Amino acid sequence: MSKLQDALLEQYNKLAEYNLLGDSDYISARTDKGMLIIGPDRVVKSVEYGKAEGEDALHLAVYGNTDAAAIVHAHPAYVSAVSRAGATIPAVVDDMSQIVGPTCRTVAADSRKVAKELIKRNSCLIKGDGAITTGRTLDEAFTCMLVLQKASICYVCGSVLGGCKVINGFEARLMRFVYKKKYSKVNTKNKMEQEGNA
Amino acid sequence: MAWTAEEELRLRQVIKDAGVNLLKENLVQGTWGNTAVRLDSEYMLVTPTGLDYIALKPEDMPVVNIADPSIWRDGKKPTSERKIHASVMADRPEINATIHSHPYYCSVFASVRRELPVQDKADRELLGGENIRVGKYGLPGTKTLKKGTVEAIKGRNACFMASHGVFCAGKAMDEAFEIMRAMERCCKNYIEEMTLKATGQSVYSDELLFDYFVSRMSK
Repeated sequence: MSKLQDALLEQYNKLAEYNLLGDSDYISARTDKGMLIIGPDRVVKSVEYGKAEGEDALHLAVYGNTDAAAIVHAHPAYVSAVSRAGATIPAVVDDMSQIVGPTCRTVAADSRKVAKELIKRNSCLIKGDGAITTGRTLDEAFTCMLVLQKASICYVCGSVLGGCKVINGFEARLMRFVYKKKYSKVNTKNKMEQEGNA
Repeated sequence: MAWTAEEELRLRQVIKDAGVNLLKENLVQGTWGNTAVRLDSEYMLVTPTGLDYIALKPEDMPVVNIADPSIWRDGKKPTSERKIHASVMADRPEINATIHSHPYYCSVFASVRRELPVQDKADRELLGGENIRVGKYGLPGTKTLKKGTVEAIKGRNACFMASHGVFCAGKAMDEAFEIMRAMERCCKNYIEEMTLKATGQSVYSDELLFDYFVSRMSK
Protein backbone atom coordinates (compact mmCIF):
# COMPACT_ATOMS: atom_id res chain seq x y z
CA MET A 1 0.00 0.00 0.00
CA SER A 2 2.72 2.47 0.96
CA LYS A 3 4.43 2.07 -2.40
CA LEU A 4 1.24 3.21 -4.11
CA GLN A 5 0.93 6.11 -1.64
CA ASP A 6 4.45 7.21 -2.53
CA ALA A 7 3.65 6.91 -6.22
CA LEU A 8 0.57 9.13 -5.79
CA LEU A 9 2.57 11.82 -3.99
CA GLU A 10 5.28 11.63 -6.62
CA GLN A 11 2.78 12.12 -9.46
CA TYR A 12 1.08 14.96 -7.59
CA ASN A 13 4.40 16.78 -7.19
CA LYS A 14 5.02 16.27 -10.90
CA LEU A 15 1.90 18.37 -11.70
CA ALA A 16 3.73 21.51 -10.59
CA GLU A 17 6.98 20.40 -12.19
CA TYR A 18 5.27 20.04 -15.58
CA ASN A 19 3.22 23.21 -15.28
CA LEU A 20 -0.06 21.29 -15.02
CA LEU A 21 -1.07 22.40 -11.54
CA GLY A 22 -4.26 24.43 -11.31
CA ASP A 23 -6.95 24.84 -8.66
CA SER A 24 -8.24 21.75 -6.81
CA ASP A 25 -6.36 19.06 -8.71
CA TYR A 26 -6.73 15.43 -7.61
CA ILE A 27 -4.95 12.18 -8.51
CA SER A 28 -6.19 8.72 -7.52
CA ALA A 29 -5.40 5.04 -7.97
CA ARG A 30 -7.83 2.10 -7.89
CA THR A 31 -7.64 -0.33 -4.95
CA ASP A 32 -9.62 -3.50 -4.15
CA LYS A 33 -12.35 -1.69 -2.19
CA GLY A 34 -12.22 1.73 -3.77
CA MET A 35 -9.29 4.04 -4.25
CA LEU A 36 -6.42 6.03 -2.78
CA ILE A 37 -6.69 9.73 -3.58
CA ILE A 38 -4.46 12.78 -3.12
CA GLY A 39 -5.46 16.44 -3.41
CA PRO A 40 -4.11 19.95 -2.77
CA ASP A 41 -3.35 19.13 0.92
CA ARG A 42 -0.99 16.39 -0.39
CA VAL A 43 -2.39 13.82 2.07
CA VAL A 44 -3.23 10.41 0.64
CA LYS A 45 -6.56 9.04 1.86
CA SER A 46 -8.41 5.82 1.25
CA VAL A 47 -12.04 6.02 0.12
CA GLU A 48 -14.38 3.04 -0.29
CA TYR A 49 -17.30 2.66 -2.68
CA GLY A 50 -20.62 3.93 -1.36
CA LYS A 51 -19.14 6.40 1.10
CA ALA A 52 -18.13 9.20 -1.19
CA GLU A 53 -19.27 12.62 -2.24
CA GLY A 54 -17.98 15.51 -4.36
CA GLU A 55 -14.57 14.90 -5.92
CA ASP A 56 -14.32 11.41 -4.37
CA ALA A 57 -17.66 10.41 -5.89
CA LEU A 58 -16.50 11.60 -9.31
CA HIS A 59 -13.40 9.36 -9.18
CA LEU A 60 -15.32 6.35 -7.82
CA ALA A 61 -17.97 6.75 -10.51
CA VAL A 62 -15.18 6.46 -13.09
CA TYR A 63 -13.62 3.40 -11.40
CA GLY A 64 -17.05 1.80 -11.08
CA ASN A 65 -17.81 2.18 -14.78
CA THR A 66 -14.46 1.79 -16.52
CA ASP A 67 -11.34 -0.37 -16.35
CA ALA A 68 -9.16 2.64 -15.44
CA ALA A 69 -6.50 1.97 -12.79
CA ALA A 70 -5.55 5.62 -12.26
CA ILE A 71 -7.16 9.04 -12.65
CA VAL A 72 -5.79 12.57 -12.95
CA HIS A 73 -8.28 15.44 -12.61
CA ALA A 74 -6.40 18.67 -13.22
CA HIS A 75 -6.86 22.23 -14.41
CA PRO A 76 -3.84 23.27 -16.48
CA ALA A 77 -4.30 26.74 -17.99
CA TYR A 78 -4.77 25.85 -21.69
CA VAL A 79 -6.90 22.79 -20.89
CA SER A 80 -9.14 24.99 -18.75
CA ALA A 81 -9.48 27.50 -21.61
CA VAL A 82 -10.83 24.76 -23.89
CA SER A 83 -13.14 23.38 -21.19
CA ARG A 84 -14.42 26.93 -20.59
CA ALA A 85 -15.25 27.18 -24.30
CA GLY A 86 -16.97 23.77 -24.10
CA ALA A 87 -15.12 22.71 -27.25
CA THR A 88 -14.05 19.34 -28.67
CA ILE A 89 -10.35 19.05 -29.42
CA PRO A 90 -9.82 17.22 -32.71
CA ALA A 91 -6.65 15.20 -33.49
CA VAL A 92 -4.36 18.21 -33.84
CA VAL A 93 -1.10 16.32 -33.23
CA ASP A 94 -0.37 12.65 -33.66
CA ASP A 95 0.59 11.79 -30.08
CA MET A 96 -2.77 13.16 -29.06
CA SER A 97 -4.45 10.51 -31.25
CA GLN A 98 -2.23 7.88 -29.66
CA ILE A 99 -2.38 8.71 -25.96
CA VAL A 100 -5.40 10.97 -25.48
CA GLY A 101 -7.63 9.63 -28.26
CA PRO A 102 -8.79 10.81 -31.71
CA THR A 103 -10.89 13.55 -30.06
CA CYS A 104 -11.38 14.93 -26.58
CA ARG A 105 -14.91 16.18 -25.88
CA THR A 106 -16.28 18.49 -23.23
CA VAL A 107 -19.03 17.02 -21.03
CA ALA A 108 -21.21 18.62 -18.36
CA ALA A 109 -19.91 18.70 -14.76
CA ASP A 110 -21.85 15.59 -13.72
CA SER A 111 -20.03 12.48 -12.44
CA ARG A 112 -22.34 10.06 -14.29
CA LYS A 113 -21.78 11.82 -17.60
CA VAL A 114 -18.03 11.95 -17.03
CA ALA A 115 -17.90 8.22 -16.14
CA LYS A 116 -19.94 7.34 -19.21
CA GLU A 117 -17.65 9.39 -21.45
CA LEU A 118 -14.61 7.55 -20.09
CA ILE A 119 -15.85 4.01 -20.78
CA LYS A 120 -14.26 3.97 -24.20
CA ARG A 121 -11.95 6.94 -23.81
CA ASN A 122 -8.95 8.01 -21.76
CA SER A 123 -9.85 11.64 -21.44
CA CYS A 124 -12.56 14.21 -21.31
CA LEU A 125 -12.88 17.90 -20.63
CA ILE A 126 -15.37 18.90 -17.95
CA LYS A 127 -17.30 22.10 -18.67
CA GLY A 128 -15.63 24.80 -16.60
CA ASP A 129 -13.74 22.23 -14.49
CA GLY A 130 -10.53 21.25 -16.31
CA ALA A 131 -10.12 17.70 -17.54
CA ILE A 132 -9.93 14.08 -16.42
CA THR A 133 -7.48 11.59 -17.85
CA THR A 134 -7.28 7.88 -17.02
CA GLY A 135 -4.68 5.17 -17.52
CA ARG A 136 -3.55 1.63 -16.86
CA THR A 137 -0.94 3.17 -14.57
CA LEU A 138 -0.55 6.51 -12.77
CA ASP A 139 2.22 7.37 -15.17
CA GLU A 140 -0.03 6.75 -18.17
CA ALA A 141 -2.85 8.92 -16.78
CA PHE A 142 -0.29 11.64 -16.03
CA THR A 143 1.29 11.47 -19.49
CA CYS A 144 -2.21 11.64 -20.97
CA MET A 145 -2.83 14.92 -19.11
CA LEU A 146 0.52 16.22 -20.31
CA VAL A 147 -0.30 15.45 -23.94
CA LEU A 148 -3.82 16.85 -23.49
CA GLN A 149 -2.21 20.09 -22.30
CA LYS A 150 -0.08 20.09 -25.47
CA ALA A 151 -3.07 19.40 -27.72
CA SER A 152 -4.92 22.23 -25.96
CA ILE A 153 -1.97 24.57 -26.54
CA CYS A 154 -1.99 23.65 -30.25
CA TYR A 155 -5.73 24.13 -30.50
CA VAL A 156 -5.81 27.45 -28.62
CA CYS A 157 -2.63 28.97 -30.15
CA GLY A 158 -3.59 27.59 -33.56
CA SER A 159 -6.59 29.92 -33.49
CA VAL A 160 -4.31 32.95 -34.05
CA LEU A 161 -2.34 31.17 -36.81
CA GLY A 162 -5.25 30.31 -39.08
CA GLY A 163 -6.32 27.07 -37.36
CA CYS A 164 -4.95 23.53 -36.95
CA LYS A 165 -4.96 20.95 -39.71
CA VAL A 166 -6.81 17.91 -38.35
CA ILE A 167 -5.45 14.37 -38.85
CA ASN A 168 -8.02 12.25 -40.68
CA GLY A 169 -10.17 9.99 -38.50
CA PHE A 170 -8.96 6.68 -39.89
CA GLU A 171 -5.30 7.52 -39.37
CA ALA A 172 -5.99 8.91 -35.91
CA ARG A 173 -7.74 5.68 -34.87
CA LEU A 174 -5.01 3.56 -36.44
CA MET A 175 -2.33 5.34 -34.42
CA ARG A 176 -4.40 4.91 -31.27
CA PHE A 177 -4.74 1.17 -31.94
CA VAL A 178 -1.02 0.68 -32.54
CA TYR A 179 -0.13 2.63 -29.39
CA LYS A 180 -2.51 0.71 -27.13
CA LYS A 181 -1.56 -2.70 -28.48
CA LYS A 182 2.12 -2.42 -29.00
CA TYR A 183 4.17 0.59 -28.27
CA SER A 184 3.63 1.06 -24.55
CA LYS A 185 3.49 -2.59 -23.45
CA VAL A 186 6.98 -2.77 -21.93
CA ASN A 187 6.66 0.61 -20.28
CA THR A 188 3.22 -0.19 -18.78
CA LYS A 189 4.51 -3.39 -17.19
CA ASN A 190 7.58 -1.61 -15.76
CA LYS A 191 5.45 1.23 -14.42
CA MET A 192 2.91 -1.09 -12.77
CA GLU A 193 5.72 -2.78 -10.85
CA GLN A 194 7.31 0.54 -9.88
CA GLU A 195 4.02 2.00 -8.65
CA GLY A 196 3.24 -1.10 -6.57
CA ASN A 197 -0.01 -1.83 -8.37
CA ALA A 198 1.06 -4.80 -10.52
CA MET B 1 35.20 0.71 -36.24
CA ALA B 2 36.39 4.25 -36.77
CA TRP B 3 35.91 5.42 -33.19
CA THR B 4 37.43 4.55 -29.83
CA ALA B 5 35.72 2.80 -26.93
CA GLU B 6 36.25 5.94 -24.80
CA GLU B 7 34.56 8.11 -27.43
CA GLU B 8 31.60 5.73 -27.61
CA LEU B 9 31.23 5.75 -23.82
CA ARG B 10 31.29 9.55 -23.81
CA LEU B 11 28.66 9.78 -26.56
CA ARG B 12 26.40 7.29 -24.79
CA GLN B 13 26.44 9.59 -21.79
CA VAL B 14 25.81 12.61 -24.08
CA ILE B 15 22.58 10.98 -25.32
CA LYS B 16 21.50 10.01 -21.83
CA ASP B 17 22.10 13.56 -20.51
CA ALA B 18 20.33 15.14 -23.50
CA GLY B 19 17.26 12.98 -22.81
CA VAL B 20 17.15 13.98 -19.15
CA ASN B 21 17.65 17.66 -20.01
CA LEU B 22 14.92 17.59 -22.66
CA LEU B 23 12.56 16.29 -19.97
CA LYS B 24 13.79 18.85 -17.44
CA GLU B 25 13.24 21.78 -19.78
CA ASN B 26 9.85 20.36 -20.77
CA LEU B 27 11.02 19.98 -24.37
CA VAL B 28 9.77 16.40 -24.49
CA GLN B 29 6.78 14.61 -22.92
CA GLY B 30 6.72 11.08 -21.58
CA THR B 31 8.70 8.60 -23.66
CA TRP B 32 8.14 10.62 -26.82
CA GLY B 33 11.00 12.16 -28.75
CA ASN B 34 14.41 10.73 -29.54
CA THR B 35 17.97 11.74 -30.18
CA ALA B 36 20.98 10.47 -32.14
CA VAL B 37 24.72 11.14 -32.28
CA ARG B 38 27.04 10.18 -35.08
CA LEU B 39 29.86 7.72 -34.33
CA ASP B 40 31.41 7.92 -37.80
CA SER B 41 30.26 8.13 -41.43
CA GLU B 42 28.58 4.72 -41.15
CA TYR B 43 27.20 4.44 -37.62
CA MET B 44 25.25 6.41 -35.05
CA LEU B 45 23.96 5.89 -31.51
CA VAL B 46 20.24 6.44 -30.95
CA THR B 47 17.77 6.25 -28.07
CA PRO B 48 15.79 3.02 -27.66
CA THR B 49 12.04 2.81 -28.30
CA GLY B 50 9.31 3.52 -25.74
CA LEU B 51 11.47 3.87 -22.65
CA ASP B 52 11.60 6.46 -19.92
CA TYR B 53 14.57 8.89 -20.21
CA ILE B 54 15.15 8.81 -16.46
CA ALA B 55 15.37 5.01 -16.29
CA LEU B 56 17.44 4.83 -19.46
CA LYS B 57 21.10 3.79 -19.02
CA PRO B 58 23.97 4.81 -21.33
CA GLU B 59 24.50 1.14 -22.27
CA ASP B 60 20.86 0.89 -23.47
CA MET B 61 21.60 2.95 -26.62
CA PRO B 62 21.93 0.76 -29.71
CA VAL B 63 24.50 1.35 -32.49
CA VAL B 64 22.59 1.82 -35.76
CA ASN B 65 23.83 1.64 -39.35
CA ILE B 66 23.22 4.96 -41.11
CA ALA B 67 22.93 3.57 -44.66
CA ASP B 68 20.58 0.78 -43.54
CA PRO B 69 19.00 1.58 -40.16
CA SER B 70 17.34 -1.83 -40.01
CA ILE B 71 20.82 -3.05 -39.00
CA TRP B 72 21.64 -2.41 -35.36
CA ARG B 73 23.55 -4.00 -32.49
CA ASP B 74 24.21 -3.61 -28.74
CA GLY B 75 21.75 -1.85 -26.44
CA LYS B 76 17.96 -2.12 -26.64
CA LYS B 77 15.65 -1.99 -29.63
CA PRO B 78 16.21 1.41 -31.29
CA THR B 79 13.50 4.02 -31.77
CA SER B 80 11.37 3.44 -34.86
CA GLU B 81 12.17 7.01 -35.87
CA ARG B 82 15.87 6.12 -36.33
CA LYS B 83 15.26 6.08 -40.09
CA ILE B 84 14.66 9.83 -40.04
CA HIS B 85 17.80 10.49 -37.99
CA ALA B 86 19.76 8.22 -40.35
CA SER B 87 18.42 9.91 -43.50
CA VAL B 88 19.29 13.39 -42.21
CA MET B 89 22.79 12.23 -41.17
CA ALA B 90 23.31 10.55 -44.57
CA ASP B 91 22.19 13.67 -46.42
CA ARG B 92 24.18 16.07 -44.22
CA PRO B 93 27.75 14.91 -43.45
CA GLU B 94 28.38 18.00 -41.29
CA ILE B 95 25.58 17.02 -38.89
CA ASN B 96 26.68 14.95 -35.87
CA ALA B 97 23.73 15.21 -33.51
CA THR B 98 19.98 15.22 -34.08
CA ILE B 99 17.01 15.73 -31.77
CA HIS B 100 13.43 14.98 -32.58
CA SER B 101 10.79 16.11 -30.14
CA HIS B 102 7.39 17.72 -29.66
CA PRO B 103 7.77 20.77 -27.43
CA TYR B 104 4.63 22.85 -26.99
CA TYR B 105 5.07 25.88 -29.21
CA CYS B 106 6.89 24.01 -31.99
CA SER B 107 3.96 21.58 -31.95
CA VAL B 108 1.59 24.48 -32.64
CA PHE B 109 3.40 25.17 -35.93
CA ALA B 110 3.52 21.45 -36.75
CA SER B 111 -0.22 21.34 -36.10
CA VAL B 112 -1.17 24.37 -38.21
CA ARG B 113 1.43 23.28 -40.83
CA ARG B 114 2.69 26.79 -41.28
CA GLU B 115 6.23 28.09 -41.86
CA LEU B 116 7.90 30.03 -39.08
CA PRO B 117 9.48 33.33 -40.17
CA VAL B 118 12.76 33.77 -38.27
CA GLN B 119 13.05 37.45 -37.44
CA ASP B 120 16.19 37.80 -35.36
CA LYS B 121 19.61 37.83 -37.09
CA ALA B 122 21.34 35.62 -34.49
CA ASP B 123 18.47 33.12 -34.70
CA ARG B 124 18.72 33.08 -38.50
CA GLU B 125 22.38 32.16 -38.21
CA LEU B 126 21.73 29.45 -35.66
CA LEU B 127 18.71 27.98 -37.46
CA GLY B 128 20.23 28.34 -40.92
CA GLY B 129 17.75 30.63 -42.68
CA GLU B 130 14.93 33.13 -42.59
CA ASN B 131 12.12 30.59 -42.56
CA ILE B 132 11.61 27.16 -41.01
CA ARG B 133 9.65 24.84 -43.28
CA VAL B 134 7.10 22.12 -42.54
CA GLY B 135 7.75 18.62 -43.91
CA LYS B 136 5.01 16.70 -45.70
CA TYR B 137 2.55 14.88 -43.44
CA GLY B 138 3.01 11.13 -43.05
CA LEU B 139 2.15 8.48 -40.46
CA PRO B 140 4.93 7.64 -37.97
CA GLY B 141 7.47 5.26 -39.50
CA THR B 142 6.53 5.95 -43.13
CA LYS B 143 8.77 6.92 -46.05
CA THR B 144 6.63 10.01 -46.66
CA LEU B 145 7.43 11.33 -43.20
CA LYS B 146 11.14 10.52 -43.59
CA LYS B 147 11.48 12.10 -47.04
CA GLY B 148 9.40 15.09 -46.01
CA THR B 149 11.73 15.76 -43.08
CA VAL B 150 14.93 15.44 -45.15
CA GLU B 151 13.49 17.83 -47.78
CA ALA B 152 12.18 20.40 -45.31
CA ILE B 153 15.45 20.62 -43.34
CA LYS B 154 17.65 21.12 -46.43
CA GLY B 155 19.80 24.20 -45.99
CA ARG B 156 18.42 24.63 -42.43
CA ASN B 157 19.19 23.22 -39.00
CA ALA B 158 15.56 22.58 -38.09
CA CYS B 159 12.18 21.81 -39.60
CA PHE B 160 8.67 20.98 -38.46
CA MET B 161 7.09 17.60 -39.10
CA ALA B 162 3.41 18.05 -39.99
CA SER B 163 1.04 17.24 -37.09
CA HIS B 164 3.96 15.67 -35.32
CA GLY B 165 6.79 17.79 -33.97
CA VAL B 166 10.15 19.29 -34.73
CA PHE B 167 13.51 18.00 -35.92
CA CYS B 168 16.78 19.75 -35.05
CA ALA B 169 20.28 19.03 -36.32
CA GLY B 170 23.62 20.34 -35.08
CA LYS B 171 27.35 19.81 -35.39
CA ALA B 172 27.29 18.49 -31.80
CA MET B 173 24.61 17.70 -29.24
CA ASP B 174 24.96 20.99 -27.36
CA GLU B 175 24.38 22.88 -30.62
CA ALA B 176 21.37 20.71 -31.51
CA PHE B 177 20.00 21.40 -28.04
CA GLU B 178 20.56 25.14 -28.47
CA ILE B 179 18.67 24.98 -31.79
CA MET B 180 15.78 23.17 -30.12
CA ARG B 181 15.59 25.86 -27.43
CA ALA B 182 15.73 28.66 -30.04
CA MET B 183 12.97 27.02 -32.08
CA GLU B 184 10.65 26.82 -29.09
CA ARG B 185 11.40 30.45 -28.15
CA CYS B 186 10.90 31.77 -31.72
CA CYS B 187 7.61 29.86 -32.08
CA LYS B 188 6.34 31.22 -28.77
CA ASN B 189 7.29 34.81 -29.66
CA TYR B 190 5.57 34.57 -33.04
CA ILE B 191 2.36 33.20 -31.48
CA GLU B 192 2.34 36.08 -29.00
CA GLU B 193 2.83 38.55 -31.85
CA MET B 194 -0.06 37.02 -33.80
CA THR B 195 -2.25 37.15 -30.68
CA LEU B 196 -1.65 40.88 -30.43
CA LYS B 197 -2.42 41.27 -34.12
CA ALA B 198 -5.66 39.26 -33.82
CA THR B 199 -6.86 41.11 -30.74
CA GLY B 200 -5.56 44.58 -31.56
CA GLN B 201 -3.94 44.80 -28.12
CA SER B 202 -0.39 45.90 -27.33
CA VAL B 203 0.51 43.77 -24.29
CA TYR B 204 0.44 39.98 -24.44
CA SER B 205 -0.96 37.75 -21.70
CA ASP B 206 -2.19 34.15 -21.80
CA GLU B 207 -5.61 35.42 -20.64
CA LEU B 208 -5.81 37.64 -23.71
CA LEU B 209 -5.26 34.60 -25.93
CA PHE B 210 -7.72 32.46 -23.92
CA ASP B 211 -10.45 35.10 -24.14
CA TYR B 212 -9.88 35.44 -27.88
CA PHE B 213 -10.10 31.64 -28.26
CA VAL B 214 -13.24 31.28 -26.15
CA SER B 215 -15.01 34.12 -27.98
CA ARG B 216 -14.08 32.58 -31.37
CA MET B 217 -15.35 29.15 -30.33
CA SER B 218 -18.67 30.52 -29.13
CA LYS B 219 -19.33 32.23 -32.46
